[in-house]
Amino acid sequence: MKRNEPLINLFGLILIILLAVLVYLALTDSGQGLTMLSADLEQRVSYSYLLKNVTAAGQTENQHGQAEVILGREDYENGAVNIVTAIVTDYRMLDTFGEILVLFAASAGVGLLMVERKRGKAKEASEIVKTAVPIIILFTLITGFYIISHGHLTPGGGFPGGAVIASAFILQFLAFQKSSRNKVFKILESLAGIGLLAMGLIGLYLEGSLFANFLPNGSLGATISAAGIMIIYALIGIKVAAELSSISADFIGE
Amino acid sequence: MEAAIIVLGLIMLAGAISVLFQKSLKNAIITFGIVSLISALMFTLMKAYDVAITEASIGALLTIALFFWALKRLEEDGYNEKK
Repeated sequence: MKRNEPLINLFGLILIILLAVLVYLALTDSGQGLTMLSADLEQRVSYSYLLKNVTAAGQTENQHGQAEVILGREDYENGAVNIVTAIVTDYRMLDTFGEILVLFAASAGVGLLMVERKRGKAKEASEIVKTAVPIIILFTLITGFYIISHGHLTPGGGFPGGAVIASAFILQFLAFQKSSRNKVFKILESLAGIGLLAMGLIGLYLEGSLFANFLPNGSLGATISAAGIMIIYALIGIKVAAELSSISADFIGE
Repeated sequence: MEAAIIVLGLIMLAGAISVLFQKSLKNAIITFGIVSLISALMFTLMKAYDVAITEASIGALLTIALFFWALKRLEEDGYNEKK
């Protein structure tokens, strides 16, 4: 144990530096709070996400000669402010569906190859870990749900949010050495997968192409807008979280 | 800011190379986690926040946990690290 001590100290030092830099970045952020409509958008990252430039119709030009999308516009394209989200869940949704299939294959492979067996005796986690982890899990879950539900407005979305939620479950496994909800994860995963396919097929039936957007979009930049993207991202988030959690539950064993 | 990115990149490079030459597998896994954390910080500095979130949760937590569980399974099957 003593041989690892310098390494653990280094790890702690780097964690503290990381936190300090994050706090510094948060304090010196030039944005004015969290409201989308009142902030000075040219100073923020989301400004570059705003320049949706897929169809020329309905765009105006700003002083730099770039196309500009006006916030609050009704029913504009797929209704997402975040251009990455617009690409991932609408214009190139078939690719995203393929990615999800890859993740599903990985999860199924781990479940197939990991032989069920009795766990050996594991060292119990320390008192500090056991006390801190429930509190950390709470904040991690809230962050994950926030990232998923604001996928159409801010950076992030189904994949990062699902990974954050899964990391909360992994923290729980690490602290308490229990993984009894594997069946629940598998059921949630298959339900979310069926839901995604159903969204694609309904789009095919109503609009004539797979994963076409068929739900009302609302006004651009509002918290509840782009209904289709919100539903797709919620399903992707559930699926990714359940898949990653079930992979780690398979690793832990019974 | 560019100087910070260069310094962090050099630390990442050194960490990634030192993973190859660690004697103990546990130390190698921890060093790998540090490299992941620094790369998450780099993504934050480069304003790619969504990638940074994914890297921090998958690279620095999930992968490390999976490696440690795999190592534990190996040790249960009688694998011993050479000292």
